[in-house]
Amino acid sequence: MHAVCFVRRFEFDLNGTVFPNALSLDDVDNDGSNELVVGNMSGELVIFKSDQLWQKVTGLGMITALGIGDIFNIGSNALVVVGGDGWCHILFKAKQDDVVEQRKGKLESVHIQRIPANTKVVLLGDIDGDGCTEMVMGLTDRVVRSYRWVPDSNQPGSGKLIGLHKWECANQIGTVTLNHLPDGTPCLLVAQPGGTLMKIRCHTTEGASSENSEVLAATSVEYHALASSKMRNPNVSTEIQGGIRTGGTDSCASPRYAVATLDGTLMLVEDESVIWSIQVDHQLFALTKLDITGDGRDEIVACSWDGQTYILDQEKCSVCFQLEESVMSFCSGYYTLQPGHPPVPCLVYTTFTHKIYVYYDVQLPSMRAKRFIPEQLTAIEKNPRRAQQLMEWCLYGRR
Amino acid sequence: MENIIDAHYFVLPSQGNVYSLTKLCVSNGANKILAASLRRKVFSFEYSGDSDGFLKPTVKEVLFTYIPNGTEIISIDAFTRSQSSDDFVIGITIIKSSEHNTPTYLNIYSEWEPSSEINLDSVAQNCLTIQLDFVPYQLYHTEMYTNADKFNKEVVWLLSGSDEKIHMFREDQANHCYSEVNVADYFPELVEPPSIILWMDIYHCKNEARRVSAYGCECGYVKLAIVDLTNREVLSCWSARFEGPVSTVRLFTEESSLETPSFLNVAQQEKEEEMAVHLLVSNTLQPSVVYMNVLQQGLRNCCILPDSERYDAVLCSAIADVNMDGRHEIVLGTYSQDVLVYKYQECDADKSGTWFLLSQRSFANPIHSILYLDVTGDGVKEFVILTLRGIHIMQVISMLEGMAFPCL
Repeated sequence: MHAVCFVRRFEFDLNGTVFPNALSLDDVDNDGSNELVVGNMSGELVIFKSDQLWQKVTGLGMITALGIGDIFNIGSNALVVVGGDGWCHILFKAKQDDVVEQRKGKLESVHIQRIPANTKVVLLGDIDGDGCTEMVMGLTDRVVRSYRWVPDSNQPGSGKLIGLHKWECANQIGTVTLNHLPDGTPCLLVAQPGGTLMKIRCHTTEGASSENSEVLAATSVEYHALASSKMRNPNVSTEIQGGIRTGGTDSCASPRYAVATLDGTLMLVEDESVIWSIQVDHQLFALTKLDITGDGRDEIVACSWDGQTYILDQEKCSVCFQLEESVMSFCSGYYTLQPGHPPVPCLVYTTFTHKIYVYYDVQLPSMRAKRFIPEQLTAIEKNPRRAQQLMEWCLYGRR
Repeated sequence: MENIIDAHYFVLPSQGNVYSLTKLCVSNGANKILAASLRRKVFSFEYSGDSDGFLKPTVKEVLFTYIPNGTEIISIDAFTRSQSSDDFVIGITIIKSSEHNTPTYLNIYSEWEPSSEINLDSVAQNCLTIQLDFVPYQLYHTEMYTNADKFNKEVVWLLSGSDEKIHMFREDQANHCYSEVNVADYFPELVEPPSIILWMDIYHCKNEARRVSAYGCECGYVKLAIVDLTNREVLSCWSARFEGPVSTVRLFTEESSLETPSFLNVAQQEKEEEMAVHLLVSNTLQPSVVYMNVLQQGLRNCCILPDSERYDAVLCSAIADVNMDGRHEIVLGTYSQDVLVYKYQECDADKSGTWFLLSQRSFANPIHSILYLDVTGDGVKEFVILTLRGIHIMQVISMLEGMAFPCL
């Protein structure tokens, strides 16, 4: 397996336990740059911009998950911080046209609401195709709930989250992710133990009044086993990552999703059929997507507890990177190194030594090493040994 | 180093040192790397080609015999008996540490029968062991011309030791063994160094009639000697002294000496003059220096590699044409995890010039050894960099993309 050693990184300190879903990379303050947001078990939330700490918020309870998205449906991102103790905090900073003003302000808590406790995963996204962002929470009680923001006034943050759906799963929830059908219909994928998943489709009925709760709750749930003979244990926890871009302009191709289990199975799935699967001897606990080669196709990034990170493209070519420390939580995404510059792909690790590592120089030109063979050369010289000597002489020979 | 990309990386189970990386130049062009780790394991690395042009890296442990439990590998070196065949001879020096004494050995591995194809596993099983009475340092090999017969080349081992001597080992083909011979008889310039020799380098020039030898010592002493090979007489020698240990010395020519491939019907240009030979001395405390044109000027014309002392101790060096301009650049690897590339710039006025830092690249660990050779088999050379933790294979890519080859 092709392996690399990434070198350039930022190193931040953060005490305490970081839950696997309590870190994210996105534009949290609406300034056009992507920040890194990390929350820990003791209620500290830290936001990093390029190589330094930008804001620290305390007293948010036991932060188990956080999400960044347009929860208010006003075209600006907000930060949703969910605690395992049942408090949901929404932090927000409005987009300002003035650059100086934009730099000055910090995120402010605009909304606090009591929700059911034991949330482990938060997803912000349009789950029913109505164009508005909803919030989905996965609970350790095997329950998935969805919420919608209902504003009271134009002021962002005045309003409340109201519950839309509640689904009960048969087993513990791994992660919740969003995938789209070929026709663009969103569907929720809920990872279930043993590499299985629940697929939930929410229907919005045009013209139905919102009081009609029966219509609102009309959903269809399918259960997929993704029968893979290599699956070793039906009880291992499972991670899922949807919306993997296949790159092509072909709109009828449905986005793929990846499934990883703690016993080391990694699968790429399209329309509930497994395209390929590999077995690794590391315990995969985090699964993300990232376009590392910059070709418009997402690569799958899976991380194990001992720091082994697998990067796979959709042709099953793999690159691995070993962080030489145990990993507490992992995410990947796009991070802005300098304001005004486009964000770059990066890998973020938090470790048991209270460090956050942001590897920002992870772009790979290609997933596999290739010989350099120019077209002219193959036309002239068929013998590979001679071609090699000719090439060597062209490049390094006496002038 | 900007246009150089990671092709592969593998971790060694235990660390190596500045002497633990060597190359196997196979005649079919598919070169291999041998890397020894301190705790007895030796790995070979090679690329196997794929039909669609992609490369598959292969890292394999080579099980060398006679490296018992509890020993540590100090140095490794390899050569072929002849240019045309793949008859490899591999030397490994080991130390066995125990409470009372620390026996040391030089193990020499080779095929029993001269063979044309390389089979590392069978080479690794044929061992000749020589017990040493000193702690070995650099294991080096060089060509020696016996009895003034230019065509009778023989490769001999030179091993630097803690007894402040160079020991020479020569194959006794009749008895099929190696024995130590008096180094003063063959290499009179290598006797009586003031302290342990950390690195030596030997260069043959003037149609193999002259030999240039250089070595650097632990005390900072550097010696350069020019030897006439017909009667093994030291023609001239120079010495210099630095403050800290000298990590490497390297003799190199300014331009690449790669000849036109024989299958091309290009008229060979007669060499008008011998290329100037320079001597690189990499220092651990002071800036590293290059002595220019040592054949004519000895150690008089000294060029400092600017800022080379600001990256902690320089542990290793390599001579490489990094930017493919036909001229050699100097590559230094430092303990501060940096690789530095220096380039020579000639001033037109008086033919003198300066070396300047062309580029720099950081790694995740201290750099122990650097090789520049073609492991992918495409004619483009790669960097093989041994760090404290593992081995990086780095490909030169971006510069070649879109490059025009006017000669093709």
